Amino acid sequence: MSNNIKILAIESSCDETAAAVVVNGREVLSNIIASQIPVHREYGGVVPEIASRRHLEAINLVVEQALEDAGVEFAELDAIAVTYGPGLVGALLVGVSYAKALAFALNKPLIAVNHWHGHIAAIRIEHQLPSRYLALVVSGSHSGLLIDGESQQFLGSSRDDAAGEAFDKIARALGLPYPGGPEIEKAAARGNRDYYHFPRAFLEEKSYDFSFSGLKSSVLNYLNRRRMQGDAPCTDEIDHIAAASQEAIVDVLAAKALAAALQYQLNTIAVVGGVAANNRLFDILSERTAANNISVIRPSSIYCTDNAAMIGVAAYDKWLSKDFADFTLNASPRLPLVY
Amino acid sequence: MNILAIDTATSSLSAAIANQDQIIAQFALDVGKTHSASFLPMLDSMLINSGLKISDMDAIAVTVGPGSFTGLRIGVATAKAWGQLLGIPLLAVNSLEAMAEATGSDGLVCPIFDARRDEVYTALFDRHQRILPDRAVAPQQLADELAAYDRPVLMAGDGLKSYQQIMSAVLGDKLQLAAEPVRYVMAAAAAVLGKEKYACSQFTNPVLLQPIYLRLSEAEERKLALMQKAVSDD
Ligand SMILES: [Zn+2]
Repeated sequence: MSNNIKILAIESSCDETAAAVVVNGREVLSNIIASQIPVHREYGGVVPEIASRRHLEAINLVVEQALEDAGVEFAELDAIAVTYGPGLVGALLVGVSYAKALAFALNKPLIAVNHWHGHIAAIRIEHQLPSRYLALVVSGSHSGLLIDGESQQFLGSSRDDAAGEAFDKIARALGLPYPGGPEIEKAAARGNRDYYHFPRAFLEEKSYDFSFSGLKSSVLNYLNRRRMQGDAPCTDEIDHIAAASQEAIVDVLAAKALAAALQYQLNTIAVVGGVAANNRLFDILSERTAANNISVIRPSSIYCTDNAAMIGVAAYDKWLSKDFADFTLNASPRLPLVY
Repeated sequence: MNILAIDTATSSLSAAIANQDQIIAQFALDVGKTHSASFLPMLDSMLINSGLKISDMDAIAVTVGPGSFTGLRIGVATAKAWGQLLGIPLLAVNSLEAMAEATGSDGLVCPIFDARRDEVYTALFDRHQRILPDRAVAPQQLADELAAYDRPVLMAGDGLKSYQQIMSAVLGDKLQLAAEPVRYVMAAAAAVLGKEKYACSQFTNPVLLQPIYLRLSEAEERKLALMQKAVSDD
């Protein structure tokens, strides 16, 4: 066995078909992403059946390109890794069936990766981490805080809408296209974040859980009230409302992350997941933590979005503990964020 | 020469191997479990018992539909991986043709697969020749159309599990059911049809291999309906 463990990782849980070759869980030799966003934008959100079909159309070429960019042949791979959940069941099944068939015919280990673990592992691609650090996980379907490193301790998670889900729903109400997160951020950059104060749900004292459904409702109610009065917001105002809503979301995320870092004496906060690409979140968190000597880090945006490199990094942990899947592996659409 | 045939298109799950002379292996399950979890373990035991490996295959035949969207994608994704990895030809076999072939009947054969939404996927064959194209249709309408033929019709496929009553109510004595061993399972027949395709080099490459869905996604259907309405309202 060579010392350089090469893992081909495949990701198809939502609307990106992705493949990557990662060496020793750290060095990304290739990272190919075929995005379906333009297709789903026409429908205002991801259409599961269309996503599944597109994955099946893209999978061979995406994997071929990942191998070619890495300069690696199938026979040189040490393992095949695949996201098996959470996500859309039909979409997941394309990657899972394809990856299982490869591992079976190559007679190499199959590694089943939890999509959340992938997002969390993404921070290791470009950063050295202390033995304990705080991870703020923010994506379209989850918000959570955990202590990660040599061991994991969960501090809190979303009770209803995730941060990314709130972004998507507010964007739709504002008439902005899918996906909502980047669109809100763009509009917000032109707007005034103090234009309106939307409520923040901090929940019980010391709670590290998140709730964004109240904020979403209050934005929707605000817009409805305005429309009922025949006073629908104009374009400039849409920017202000986007800025004020974004502020409400990142305010809560930043406040809870800071409180957790202080309580557990962690001097590094890693922001991961699709919403980690939001610059306002990163800036507000960096500002508030500066006085406490806490450093805030996040992956490059290519590793925040759904990608397979992060799956290859997470898979290497399982390689080291010989935690392999067998050929009964199935898609697990509601897989929770646990270790 | 070895051809592996796989079928995950309907409620049953099957695999078979044909060499130049005969079908040398066939495994099948129809136990209501998910195809994703059962397929490779079943295939693994078939290969072990055959003394063969995937890399001993000269081509892979796969049923590409019509059938369950999810089921089709499991089989097609598997075949795509093997075609790409091993560089062997893929043989796209129509699943309704495979079902009709499985019955071995010389007469009028009408396979039906459960298409959900109160429809079946179906086609019609006479003396092994196709006489109607693939389509999705309401079982009652199909029964009425079949009644117009003044000959017995042999039916097979998992659509019978839900709609045999409707068929027999309309067709009466003219309804014949495929014998139980060949009523739902079609990988061996797909291997036979695959062999024919192999002989005339009707190969499909892994990128181009795609299911025959027959239907758009529901979101696309709704969008299309809105567009058609807009046109007719003009
Ligand atoms: Zn994700």
